[in-house]
Amino acid sequence: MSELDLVRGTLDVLILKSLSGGSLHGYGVARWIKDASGDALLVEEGALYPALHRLAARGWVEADWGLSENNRRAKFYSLTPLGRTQLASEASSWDSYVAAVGRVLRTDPAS
Amino acid sequence: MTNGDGLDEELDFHIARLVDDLRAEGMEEEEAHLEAARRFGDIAAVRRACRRAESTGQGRGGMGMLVDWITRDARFALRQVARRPLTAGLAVVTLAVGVAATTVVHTVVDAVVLHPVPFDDPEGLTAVVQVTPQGRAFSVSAPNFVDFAERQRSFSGMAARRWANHTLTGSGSAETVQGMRASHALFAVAGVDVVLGRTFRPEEDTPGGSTDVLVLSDGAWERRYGRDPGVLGATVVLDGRVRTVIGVVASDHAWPAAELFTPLVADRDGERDNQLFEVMARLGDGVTVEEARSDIVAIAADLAAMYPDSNDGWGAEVMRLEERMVGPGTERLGRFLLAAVGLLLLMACVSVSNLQVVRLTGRLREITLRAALGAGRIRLAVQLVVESLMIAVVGGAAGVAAAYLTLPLVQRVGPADLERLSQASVNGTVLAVAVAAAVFAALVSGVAPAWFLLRREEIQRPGRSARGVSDEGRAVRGALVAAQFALALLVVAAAGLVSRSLIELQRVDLGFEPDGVLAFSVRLPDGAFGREERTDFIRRLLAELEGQADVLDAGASQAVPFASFRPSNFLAASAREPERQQDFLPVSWRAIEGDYFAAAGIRVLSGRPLRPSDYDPGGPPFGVVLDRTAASMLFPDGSDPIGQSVTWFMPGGMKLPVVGVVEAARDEFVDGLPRPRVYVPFAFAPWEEPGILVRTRGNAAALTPVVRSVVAGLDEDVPVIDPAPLERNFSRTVAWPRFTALALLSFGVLCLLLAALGIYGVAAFGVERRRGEIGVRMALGAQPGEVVRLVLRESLRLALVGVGVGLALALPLGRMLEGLLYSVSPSDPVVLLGGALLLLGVALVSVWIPAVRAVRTDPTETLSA
Repeated sequence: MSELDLVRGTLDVLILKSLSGGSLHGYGVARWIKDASGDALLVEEGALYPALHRLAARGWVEADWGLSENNRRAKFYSLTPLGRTQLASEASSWDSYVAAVGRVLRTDPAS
Repeated sequence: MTNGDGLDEELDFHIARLVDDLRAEGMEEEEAHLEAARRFGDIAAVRRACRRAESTGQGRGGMGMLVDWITRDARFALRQVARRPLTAGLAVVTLAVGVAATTVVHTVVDAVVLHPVPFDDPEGLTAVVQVTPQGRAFSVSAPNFVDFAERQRSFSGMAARRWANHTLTGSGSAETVQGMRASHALFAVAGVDVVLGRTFRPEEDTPGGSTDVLVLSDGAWERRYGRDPGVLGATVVLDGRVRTVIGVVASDHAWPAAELFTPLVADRDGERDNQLFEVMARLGDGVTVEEARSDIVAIAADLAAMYPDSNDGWGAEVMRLEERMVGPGTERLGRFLLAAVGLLLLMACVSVSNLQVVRLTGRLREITLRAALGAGRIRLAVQLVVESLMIAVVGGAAGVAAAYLTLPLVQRVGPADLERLSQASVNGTVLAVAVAAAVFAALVSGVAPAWFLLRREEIQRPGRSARGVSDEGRAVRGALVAAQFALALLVVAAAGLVSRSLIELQRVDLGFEPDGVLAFSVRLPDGAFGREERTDFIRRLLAELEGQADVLDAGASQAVPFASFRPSNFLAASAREPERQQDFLPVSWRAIEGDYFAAAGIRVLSGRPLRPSDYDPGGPPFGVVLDRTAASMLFPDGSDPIGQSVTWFMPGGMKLPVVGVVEAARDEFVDGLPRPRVYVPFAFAPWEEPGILVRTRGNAAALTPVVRSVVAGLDEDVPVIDPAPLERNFSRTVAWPRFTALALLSFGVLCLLLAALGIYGVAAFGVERRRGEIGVRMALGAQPGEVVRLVLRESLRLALVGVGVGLALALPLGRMLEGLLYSVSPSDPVVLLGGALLLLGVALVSVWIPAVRAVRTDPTETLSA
């Protein structure tokens, strides 16, 4: 299992993305990121929860208590309209960042 | 809501799901738990990180959030305080000093000036006085008191009292005890409770009634009888009369000096023109002072018509008891002291404010960071308020504790004759004021820092770069330092004015010489001495005293200088004798014997002193001596009074030849011109308790044992009362002014210190900030003098502005002192300019140290840094 360290600052956008399909609890967010990255990205719990709380404090996500798949009380996070805007802007800047880095990597330095 | 609630449950859920999934992948349960724990790492750290993440978010409402903030901010504030213990400690100490001074001064002023009446329900208590034809409040004569008490319709009770010293005999050597003569209603009127037995019955203060009774104070009951209830019915020999103890009253709070009470017998047929009673009365339900006044004034008018010989021209007045107890001067000085301590408290607040801005400037990076992380401005302000509150709570508590410790000290050095001072205690009102002072301090000292913080751009709009970081801080601190100097000038000027007035008061030419004189009284009670025996005893005593080694002169008078007792009468030049009493000259009079003028140090200006032969009971009119003031007022044409005669006001009149004129002596009040005075022979008025003055070559106090043995040698039943150097009587008269001056001086010193600290801080900070610039200037060849000037100019400008504002405020505020100062104007230029120069000097010295340090800066070091 190859696990990549998450580039700092990308965790937020991944969380926002994970919630774009509907509300999830924290474990669900971690699970979704792991699955969606093909097991390449493993979110550390020590980083996940502070990030969730930070996003909530900024008003990008909101939290609500609900019942999980196995009927236990869990805290579900969902995107706010503000969070949806934020996701869009971060996703596009991420794309241009990746594109830029890609261009650089494909260019041979003149020797 | 994403606050701390439910965080544990949220994390527990995660761990449980993780364990479930791991087990589904085939792990043993125990192994799965271990793995989950490993993945989480330090769960406490995660929890903390979550809370931190929340708190940096934008503010959301809700009381829970606020409480959460405050508890967390308190912890944060504590850490901040611990990180800068010096500034925090200084702030706490400054505030503690301010609160302690406020509390102590308020306690003292409250007891002495604001609530001087030590009785229950003081609102309804009034004093009833007679008013002289010249309009001065006066005591009441016995027959007038009886008439007032019988005819009045405004009071629920009216009572008279008189201080009295008694000689207690029968148990070894004669002993003087201080007591009070009281009419039967006194205890009920004053609200003094009966502890044991009963108080006087109406028939016990009536002439011819069973008046040989006595009531003890509870203090005397404890000291003398060990609280033995068997004291009722015991007999005591007082002034040669056997009296029976009938009760004990709880009077120690009301009259701490009185050990016992005897009936004050008011004789309707007594002398109507001999005003000796202090009358107090309690207003009836719903009766105002004004209504009671018109009632009493009407009775007085009636009496004046009925008894023109004694009452013509005399009126009456009803006033609140506290007005009678506290002179207007004392009251206004007290209020002024309160105002001054208010300034000191304000000064302390400004200083704490300044320290807070210093602390903030040092923490700017941290605060900017917190703002950038999304801490709202309100949140930051809350944090500042919490910090100020913590300093206020600690400083306030320390201040109240310090006040408790200082009060006994103040009571010891304070004016001893202010009876109420010894009873001052930190009470509920005073504590409430202290708490209010601390809260006020927290708010005021928080305003400037909060303003400073909230105005900062990088905090208003997080993300902007911080620019001009220190300039704004300096502007705020500069304003605070200027304010400090303005306040300090006000307090220093007040201290200077009151101190100068006190010095002037002590330099007054008294017209007599208290140094080297021992004063005391002897008690020659009515039962044991007749008029002639009394005069005879005094003559023998004075002769004996003058025979002692080191004694120069000895004289007697019915009242020693600065006694609380100031006999008055009315006099006119016989050649121009007026018809009515109100046209007579009111004079102070003394009945003297022996070498009184020599003993007191009063110069004889013309004629001669009185001689024993001047008075012959059956013979011709006796001679009198006038003082310079009386002589010039009675003989305004400048004619020589000697050989002329004056008329002593009394029924039938009494024409007396003037035999001498002496210097005017300020022996009643120091701070005013002496009342005109006439001296008559002691034998004319041989009162019960004459005072004796003994002038000695050596130390006056050392003469006390000699005096005691001489008196005991003449009559061992005669006690020596209050032997003390006359100098002490004098200093007692300036006790309250001296207390005020001392208090203001210590406030002044504190204010100077705080101002010095404030300007030093600003200058030192300025030098630190410009170290690089100074280094460059020095490297480019600037003279040290130029650099010093640079630093001085900047800081001294603040001091100058402050002092200027202070001077501008001092002039209107000084009016509060008008009439309280002796021979000093409230706008005295010497004091005001002196205060201004003193403050500028303090500023110069405080700024000098950082300035010199700046010059010593090694250019290479600062440039390479």
